[in-house]
Amino acid sequence: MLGLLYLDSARIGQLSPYARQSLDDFLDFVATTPTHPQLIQWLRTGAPLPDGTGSLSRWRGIEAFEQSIAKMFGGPACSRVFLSSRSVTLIRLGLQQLFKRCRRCMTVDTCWPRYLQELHRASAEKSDSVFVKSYRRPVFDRGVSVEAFCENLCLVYCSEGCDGLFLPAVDHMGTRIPVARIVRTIREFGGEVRFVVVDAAQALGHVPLDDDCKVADFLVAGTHKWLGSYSTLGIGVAPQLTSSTAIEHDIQQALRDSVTDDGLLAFIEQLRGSVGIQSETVNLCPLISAFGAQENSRQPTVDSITAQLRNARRVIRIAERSGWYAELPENEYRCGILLLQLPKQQRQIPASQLQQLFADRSISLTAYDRGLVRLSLPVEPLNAKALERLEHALVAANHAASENYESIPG
Amino acid sequence: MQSTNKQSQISRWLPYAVSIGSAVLAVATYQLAGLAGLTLYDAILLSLVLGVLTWRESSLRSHWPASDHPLDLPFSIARDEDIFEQYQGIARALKSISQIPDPVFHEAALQQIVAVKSSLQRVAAGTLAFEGTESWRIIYEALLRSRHVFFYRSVAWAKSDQYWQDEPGKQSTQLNLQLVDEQSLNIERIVILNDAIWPVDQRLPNQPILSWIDVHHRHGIWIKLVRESSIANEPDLLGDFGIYGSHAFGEQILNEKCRTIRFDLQFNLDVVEEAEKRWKRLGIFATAYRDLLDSRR
Repeated sequence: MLGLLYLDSARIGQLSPYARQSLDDFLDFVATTPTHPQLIQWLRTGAPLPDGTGSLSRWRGIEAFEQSIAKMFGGPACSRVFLSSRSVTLIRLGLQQLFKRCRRCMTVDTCWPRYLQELHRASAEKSDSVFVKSYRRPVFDRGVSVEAFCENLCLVYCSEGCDGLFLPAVDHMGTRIPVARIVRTIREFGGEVRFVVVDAAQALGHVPLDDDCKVADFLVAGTHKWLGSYSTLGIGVAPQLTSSTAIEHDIQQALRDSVTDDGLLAFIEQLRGSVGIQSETVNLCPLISAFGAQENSRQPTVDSITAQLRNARRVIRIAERSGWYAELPENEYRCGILLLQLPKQQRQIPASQLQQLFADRSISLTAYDRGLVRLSLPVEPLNAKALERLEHALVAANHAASENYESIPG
Repeated sequence: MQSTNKQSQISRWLPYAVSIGSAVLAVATYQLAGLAGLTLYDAILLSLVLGVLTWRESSLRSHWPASDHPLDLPFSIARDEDIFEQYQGIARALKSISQIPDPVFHEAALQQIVAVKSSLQRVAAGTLAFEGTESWRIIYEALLRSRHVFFYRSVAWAKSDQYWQDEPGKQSTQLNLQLVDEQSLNIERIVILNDAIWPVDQRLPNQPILSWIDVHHRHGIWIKLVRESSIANEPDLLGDFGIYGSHAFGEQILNEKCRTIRFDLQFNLDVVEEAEKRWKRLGIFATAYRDLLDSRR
C-alpha cells in the first residue's frame, strides 16, 4: 500500500502529530469533565489541570499562546493577537479598520475572490472605493521584475489617489507579493499609506512574514493550511503599536455591539479580561489543535524556501519529461507552491478527473479546470520514490487528458 | 417726504376722479349719440380696460419667475406644510403691521421687516448663521447623524490648549467618537496648532491638547497636525471649518479663549467644492499624527 504523498497544504494541511496529540488529550479530558471548574483558569493562565492531561500541561495561558503566535508571524512581542472561529471574521474587522481611515484602497487581482467580495462590501458601506491592480498578467505573462512591479504599482497607487492597501502575502496561485517593498516604495515616492491589511492565509507557516509585520497594521491567517492544525482557527495580528490599540478598541466594541457574532473571538476576549463582552459557549478544539500545531511548527526562513524551490526544480524536470510545463514567475515571486499546466490542446479535462488521477496514486494536490494543478512542496527533500510516483501520475494524467481531447467531437 | 405725501394723496383720489370723469363722458355720449352711441362707448371702454389689465399682468409676470408670482407663491409653498404654516403666520403679522396707521411705527417696522427679509434671504441661499451661542451644535449633531453624510472632514484651529476642552466641546468630541465607533461616519481631522502649543523643537504638542488628539487616533480617526507658522503665507488656510459629506460647509469663528462667536453653515455645492480645495491644500502642510508617533520609535 502506497503511503500518501501530501502536496496540498495550500488548500488544507495534514493534521500535524502534535496537533493530533493535543486534540486527543483535550478530548480525553473533556469527555469526563467538560465544564471542569479549573478549565477556565487553565485557559487563562495555564494553571495546572488534574494529572493525566499529557500535552495540555505545556499550555501556559492564553497570552503566552498569543505571544508564540506573534513570534510565528515574525511580529514584535507587543503585537496584539486576536483568535476567532474563522479568518473571514477577522478579515471583515480588519477591512472595517481600513475604511475607517482610508478613502480608496488598492488591492490586486490575485486576491482571494471571497475576500475581494468582502473588500467591495466594506468599501460600499462607507461610500469609499477600491482599485484593483492587475498583478497576474505583469508577473506571469510579461515577467516583470519585483522592482519594476513595485514602481509601477506605486505610480498607479498615487495617481489613483489611494491611501490604503489590502494585499495577500502569498496569493492562492502561489505568488509571493512583496508587501513590505510595495509599502516602502510608495512612502519613498511620497504617497500616503494609512492602513495595510494583509491576507496571510497562504503565508503562515510557509514564508517568513517578519518584513510584512514591519509595515502591516493587521495580518490575518487561518491555521488549517501550512500550519497543519486542520481546524479553521482564525488569527489576526496587529503588530504596529500605533494602530493596535485602536484595533483592539474597535474589535471589543464590535463584540459588545454584536456587530460580529464570532463566539470564539468573544470567548477569548472575555478570557483576557475585556469587560462588557457576553460570555459564549464555544468549541475549543480549534484552539487546542492550533496550540499543538504551533508547538510543532518550524519557523519559515529563507533556507526553508530555498529547500522548497529545490524540490520544485526536481518536480519541474520530471513534469517537463511528462509533457507538462511549469507556470513560473520571476524567482523573487516564488515560494513553496508550484503550478503545473498541461499543453493547450489537452486542457479540457475536468478538474475532478484530474484530481482523481493523482488520488488514485495516493498523491494529494489541488486540480483546477483548464489542466492546472497546484502542488504545495515540502521543505524535506522529495525522495526518489516520491518523485517516481509523481512522474507516473503526471504521465497518466497527460495521457488521460489526451484521450479526453481526442474524444471531444469536432 | 413731501413728494411721497403728494403721491399718496393723488393715488387716493385718482379712482374717484376717473370714475366721475367716465360717468360724465357716458352721459354726454348718450345725450349726443343716443343708446347706440352709449353702447359703443361702453364696448370701447371695456376693451381699453381689458387691454390695460392684460398689459399690467404680463408686465408683472415678466418681473417674477413662474412660481414666484405673488398669486402663485402660496400655492408653491403649500406643498411644504411646515413652511406654509410659518408663511401664513408671517403674512398675518405683516397684515397686522400694515393696519397700524402710525407713520413712525410704520417706518420702524419696515426697517425690522427688511432686516428679517435679509436674514431669510440668506437662509434661502443655503446659509444658516448662529451668533454668540453654542446652539449651532444642535444642527451640527443633526448633520453628523444624517444618513446622507458618510464623511466629515474637519479643520480645528487650536489657538489655545483649551480648544474644545469646555463642556460643549467635550460633548461634541464624544459625539464624534461615538459616531466613528458606531461605524456610521468616517471622520478626518486636521488640527492647526499655535506654535506655543506645539513648539518647533517638540515632536508632539503639549497637553491637554495632546490627549484630545490622541483620543481621536485611538478611535481610528485619521488625524493630522500642522503648526500655524507653517501656513503663515497661506492665511486663507487658517480657519475652523468642517465639510459635511458633499452637503454642507460650516465655519466657526472663535475668540482667543476658543469660545464660539459665530458659526455659519452653508448648504451650497460650490462652497463645498471650494472648501475641499482648501482642505487638500492644508493637507499638504500637515503631518499625520500616526507618523509622528512612528518616528518616536
